[in-house]
Amino acid sequence: MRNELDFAEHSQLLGEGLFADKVVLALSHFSKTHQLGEQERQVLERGKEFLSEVIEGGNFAEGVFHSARDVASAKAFAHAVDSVAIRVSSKSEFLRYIDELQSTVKKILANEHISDAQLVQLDDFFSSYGRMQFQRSRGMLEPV
Amino acid sequence: MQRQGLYLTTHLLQLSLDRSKALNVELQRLNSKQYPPTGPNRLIELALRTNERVSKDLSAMLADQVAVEAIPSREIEINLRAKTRLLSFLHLLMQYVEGAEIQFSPSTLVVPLRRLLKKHFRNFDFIVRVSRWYNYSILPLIEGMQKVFSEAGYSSLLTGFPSQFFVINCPVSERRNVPTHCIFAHEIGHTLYKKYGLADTLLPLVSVNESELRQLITTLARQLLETGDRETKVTAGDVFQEWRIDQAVRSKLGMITWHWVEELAADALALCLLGPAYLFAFVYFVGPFASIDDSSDKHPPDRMRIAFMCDMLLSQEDGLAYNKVLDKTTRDYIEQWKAYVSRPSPMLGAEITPHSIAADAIKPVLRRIMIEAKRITYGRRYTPTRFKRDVPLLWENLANGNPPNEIVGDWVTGKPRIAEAEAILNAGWVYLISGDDRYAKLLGLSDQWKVTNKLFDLVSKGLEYVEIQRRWRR
Repeated sequence: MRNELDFAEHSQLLGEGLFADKVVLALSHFSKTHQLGEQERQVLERGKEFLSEVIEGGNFAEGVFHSARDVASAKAFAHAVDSVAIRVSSKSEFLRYIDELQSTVKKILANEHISDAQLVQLDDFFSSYGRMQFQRSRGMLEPV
Repeated sequence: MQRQGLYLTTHLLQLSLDRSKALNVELQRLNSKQYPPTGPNRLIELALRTNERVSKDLSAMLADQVAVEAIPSREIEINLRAKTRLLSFLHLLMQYVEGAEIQFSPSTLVVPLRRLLKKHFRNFDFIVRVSRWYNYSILPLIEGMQKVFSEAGYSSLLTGFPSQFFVINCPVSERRNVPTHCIFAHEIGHTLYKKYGLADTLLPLVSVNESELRQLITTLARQLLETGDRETKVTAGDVFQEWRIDQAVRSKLGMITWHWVEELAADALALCLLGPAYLFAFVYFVGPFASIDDSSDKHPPDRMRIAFMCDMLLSQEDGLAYNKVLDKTTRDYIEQWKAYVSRPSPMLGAEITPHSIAADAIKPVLRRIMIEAKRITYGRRYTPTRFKRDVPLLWENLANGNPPNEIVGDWVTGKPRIAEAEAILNAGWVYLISGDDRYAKLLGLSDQWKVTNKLFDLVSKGLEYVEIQRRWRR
């Protein structure tokens, strides 16, 4: 039967917003110290994994989800698209952009040099993604 | 005297601390009420513990002199947000305790439900509550709670909390109509579907008609590009955004088939757990609303569900083969429903929609759903053999105005035997459908609603007496 509130969806969105906040905190710590503690490293590893999920979701072209992973990646993709402030005219352009973000995370994790612009781009994406998820979760509680 | 210097950070932290204290007052109020054991109290205690920890952490932040003497930094903002969002999440969780108080709880149901869940889960707990929503539902809370608690940095507080926690909702006006609660079997079906990972087995069999899907995408793209769309953020005339429409439609269809297969599987599992009683409760509950062709992205139309259930109950090959054990009136009743829902649905007309594509796409899965539902309930299933053995005898009890809690003169032992909850519920429904008027005559009533109510009370008494007898035996 139907649920009065989609609790699973609401808590998932809220949790994703909090997760994005943690990525932003880790990036902020990195930009100040140019170092990563164990906690920040774990959070960025998850950030990298999330971006992989977005890329996977972008490659979905069927109309049938075969597993929970398919559903999660399709959602990750759709939500990531909404989080991009810039205009993206094609899917391949969008996936290139996500790929760039992922490569920045990899460089940070590997202690390789990244530019300030790359760090800002990454920070912008996760800030916007978190904000969108909080908005969506709050939207589910508001009367229509 | 006016405050001097920067105090906004202190102010914000103090406001958050106030919210935590206000929540504490409310949690204490909820904790002072009486609930049936043990789910509601466990959830309140968790909320109390969490709130206490958040309050302590906020106080520690307030004590940090360096931080509080500056304008709130981004770090403070984010840290504060994690805590306040968790507080509002606790508020949300507490809505599931309301309506679970002992005076509202459909208590007859709690013990048999616990027994049914015990067959499939360890370390679980649940809350049964009534609400103003005219719906039955089951919410598995734990996954969402784990996500929020862990992302907010408080996952350790869930240590010792049950690994499965359900909230079972029942419409307030139906709380005394115990036989209608058979619908809960469907909700338990959802939890079994997830526990046994049936999606991985069933969804690869879904087969989408790609040419119809392309046709739908083209039509929708044309419409959306003319008007624009808020959901996909496509603006009118923006031809570059066509890829987003393609993606959105495919994703939507994926979600529809994902949900619809789960719904039908939950129906199949409910039939395995309770037998025909689930179908009877379902049509009793949804029938009056005449919404047989309504579908949503999450639920297939009832026409499809009823047809599937009738098929599963009566079919010999992959179904449950109840046709062999049902009396003529009950079998005819199911056959009539089957004939009614077999008429062509207007939903499957000429127009191609995501729902019409989904309805065709899941057809190849239906047989497999029956097989899988039977497989995972093997050994724990309510069987036609047990139905045939007990239901006609309990039916006689009802006709004579006696609670159906005991099989007198069991054919194996010759002694009285305590009836199973499943048999009692089936007997109640079969008696209602049979149109037998002996009980009504016994009561001296002609008003059908009053007779039905009395019958439901008798079924409820049967379930209560069974529990008393079990306890007495122990």
